[in-house]
Amino acid sequence: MESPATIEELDRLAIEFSGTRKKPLLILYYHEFEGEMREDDVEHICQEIKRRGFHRENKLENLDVLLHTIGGDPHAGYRIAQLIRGVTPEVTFLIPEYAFSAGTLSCMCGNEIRLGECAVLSPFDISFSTRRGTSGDIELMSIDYFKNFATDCREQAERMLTRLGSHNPSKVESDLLVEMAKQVGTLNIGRFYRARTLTGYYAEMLLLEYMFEQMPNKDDLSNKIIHAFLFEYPTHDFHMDFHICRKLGLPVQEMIVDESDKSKKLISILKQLTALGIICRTIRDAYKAPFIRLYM
Amino acid sequence: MTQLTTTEKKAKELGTLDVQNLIYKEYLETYKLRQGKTFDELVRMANDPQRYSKVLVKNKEKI
Repeated sequence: MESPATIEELDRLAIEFSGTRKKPLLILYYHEFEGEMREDDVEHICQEIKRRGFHRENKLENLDVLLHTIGGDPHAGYRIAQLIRGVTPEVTFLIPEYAFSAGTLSCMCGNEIRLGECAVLSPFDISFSTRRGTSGDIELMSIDYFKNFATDCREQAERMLTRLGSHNPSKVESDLLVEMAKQVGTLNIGRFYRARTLTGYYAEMLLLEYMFEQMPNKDDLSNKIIHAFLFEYPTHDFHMDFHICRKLGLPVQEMIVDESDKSKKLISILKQLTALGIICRTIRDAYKAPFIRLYM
Repeated sequence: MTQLTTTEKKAKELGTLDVQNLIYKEYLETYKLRQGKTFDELVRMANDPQRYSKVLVKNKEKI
């Protein structure tokens, strides 16, 4: 039987991993659906980097950020990205399994994104709910698709009416949209659209300032990517693997097998340590603290 | 200066578990401050004009 994971084992593997990559390693681990990126995290990440002796005036030469998250607050995603870029001119994001939503947004400040075997990113669509991952989540993309559905319904109804000799417009589209507005709430719909504009703005800032800074066609590239992330993909939990990310124009690389295995082993130990209650302890119901550590 | 350097040195030497415990403690404190209040309530409290005018008066007193 395998012995339980220990902090010493985690430290040893992380330092070994950092040594192989010849770069300091910042681990940001959010435990499954009980961990989400929040603005509070920014201060804690900043403190951890400072504890290790680095800040805006004493920068790290380069940095690997190992990120594992289902996402969270887009403000947090953006601010974490800016914080990281504030302390180093060169960043590589390492995604052993996944970095969804706000996590994907943070990756937009990287010079490179390295994906582990079968690792994925996701669109950064807007969804609101009282608890993440519950069926109560409403996604902005669902509203977009519902609008398309309502238009299709009207067009179909009008085609049928024309065949029957009537030229009256159908009001099925407005009826459906009124019903949707009742269910979601008009103010909520307004909030969704405002948040999408905001996420798009954050992504544009990161792509232009960092990821594509040196590219002559950076405006076109970033517009294409933002549009795809916000509008083109079918659902919020659409999985963007290496092939989709590369096709989109993101600077992604597949980790070599050994690197991928080691990064996944790190995640596995972090999961075990969380299950044992050693790290990522529960702050309140269904919310655990993230694991934040800079290894040199 | 020496004391600052010692504090910095000590912080640098904190182990992984010490750092996680420190982070957890701070998260817990923040959570306790906000406990039982909805986000809207917190925003209302922060933007309460009465509270704001009191702060304004206090600031003027300080000057």
